[in-house]
Amino acid sequence: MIRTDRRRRLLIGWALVLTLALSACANKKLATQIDQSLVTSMAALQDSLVAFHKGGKISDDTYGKIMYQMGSLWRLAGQYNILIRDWPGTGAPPKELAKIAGDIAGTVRIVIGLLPDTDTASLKSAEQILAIVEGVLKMVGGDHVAAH
Amino acid sequence: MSPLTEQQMAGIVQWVQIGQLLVPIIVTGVENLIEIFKSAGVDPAIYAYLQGIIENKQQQADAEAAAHGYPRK
Repeated sequence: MIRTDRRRRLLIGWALVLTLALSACANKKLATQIDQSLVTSMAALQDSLVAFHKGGKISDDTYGKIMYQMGSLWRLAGQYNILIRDWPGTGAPPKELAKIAGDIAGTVRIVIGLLPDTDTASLKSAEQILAIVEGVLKMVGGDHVAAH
Repeated sequence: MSPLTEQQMAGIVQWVQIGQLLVPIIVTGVENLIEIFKSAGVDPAIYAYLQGIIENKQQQADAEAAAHGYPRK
């Protein structure tokens, strides 16, 4: 009876260890996928802005202002990338992610506020970034983006 | 065949309960394992690749901003 109990505990223990290890891998993978989506959407936004400016549909001043904000966005994306790279995937995601996500959302809103109404392509990419940031906050368990 | 004793019955019930607990865990674990094998997990090189894109685009944004009157201090 004692032997059976020990075997049972061992079995449950191993099952838990396996599940935890697998969920850690899954967490890191999700965070990395979000990282990739963030970079892809931000690159799409910048490419769209450059094309829009080349088409003469946005003033030089507004374009300069938006590009300054894009510089800030890339710095934040760099911080996100490093945090996820260094996160082992176990335990809760780094709390700093919530702040970075909030800052990204705030900066994207500034960009959206500067965009001409006619630049729907850039607007779409910007909204995509906001949706991704929502995902980051859900992962971290932080506040809703709207709260920032 | 002799009928099961009360102790044996209790043992069977206990195993069924453990099985109910373990089966979903094992199924989820196997599903995750298949998913990880399918995607070969997270390749650490991805972060360096992304960092390369980030730095490249950041430089482009800074240069464009500076060229249009908004240099980064």
